[in-house]
Amino acid sequence: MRRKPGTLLPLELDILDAGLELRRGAAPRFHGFQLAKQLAESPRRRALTAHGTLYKALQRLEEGGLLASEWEDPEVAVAQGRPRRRLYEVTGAGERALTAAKAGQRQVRPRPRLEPT
Amino acid sequence: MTVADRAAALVGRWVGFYTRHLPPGSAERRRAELASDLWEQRASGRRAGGPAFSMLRRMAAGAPADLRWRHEQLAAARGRPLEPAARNGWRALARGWWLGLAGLVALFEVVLGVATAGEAFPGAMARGGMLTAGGLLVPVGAAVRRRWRVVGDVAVAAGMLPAVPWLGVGPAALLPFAALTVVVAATFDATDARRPPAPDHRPGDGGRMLLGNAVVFLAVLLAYDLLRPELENTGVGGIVLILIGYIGLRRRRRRRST
Repeated sequence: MRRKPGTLLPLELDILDAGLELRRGAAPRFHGFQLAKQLAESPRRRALTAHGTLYKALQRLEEGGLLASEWEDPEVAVAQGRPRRRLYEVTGAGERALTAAKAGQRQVRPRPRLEPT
Repeated sequence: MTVADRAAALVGRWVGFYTRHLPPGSAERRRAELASDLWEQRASGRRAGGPAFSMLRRMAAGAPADLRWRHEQLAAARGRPLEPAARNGWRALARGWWLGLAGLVALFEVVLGVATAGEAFPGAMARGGMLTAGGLLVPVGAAVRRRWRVVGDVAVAAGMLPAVPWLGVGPAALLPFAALTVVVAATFDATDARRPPAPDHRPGDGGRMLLGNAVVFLAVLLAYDLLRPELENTGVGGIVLILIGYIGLRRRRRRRST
């Protein structure tokens, strides 16, 4: 099934939410595995997100301007003896998109009432 | 080498596989991000105890998304608009249906060829050999056409020819009719390959045209057998196929006029 252009999948909303959660926890930028761990700790998810699913979603969000990313300073990675990380952060547009999506979910269409005649 | 090392190596090989021949920027970024992710998970797992199963599960669960991502990267690199997966599948079917039919005919040719070669009548060995060779030529042609489309089409069509003389032999008449359909389709496909696409050419149009033409051709041949009493059971099929072919051609003509 094709998704409508501009709509966000539940995973993508969770990514934005988790990214803002990490920012509130003093981690303004996050890497992929850090995000996967954050998602796994949320009430809705129980396991680490699959590689293909996660990185495809991150790329789509970045292409949509809702995330920004860059490689960390390679010297930091070398000093810590690990591969360098791609660090992401939620943009202003990403915050607004998440707020709008949550507002849309909270709006409940009133059900028609059957009045007795 | 620990279990986690092996799991990480396997995931790394999978990443290398689905990023092969991709534009260097996309491939390099994906490989580097996954390398980092695997390292981080293993570092995290050393504290928690055993990430190997989780790494493999994440790899397996994400494999369809990896392949779709690869498809998107290749399409972007070739400057082609990305088609939705469902429509892309139907277009692939419209383009390649006749290859599937050729495969079925080839299978029958090989089976019939081996059986015929063991018969006692004069020339059985030669006839059986021709049938078997025709059947074996089809997969060769299908493989070759990925690189040289016209050569491959000619090979597939040639592979069908040994089945054609069986025309009119009882219920097995469907076999040569199917073979003739493939010959027609392969001919159209080969001429299509030689001709530059029209400005308004859409992928899959050629396949639908082939389907329409081939079904009509097959339907006409089957309907002809209405005149032959020993092939009564193909008459109804022939009428149905004539209707299908007519509907297919009407749709093609309507689509081309819009």
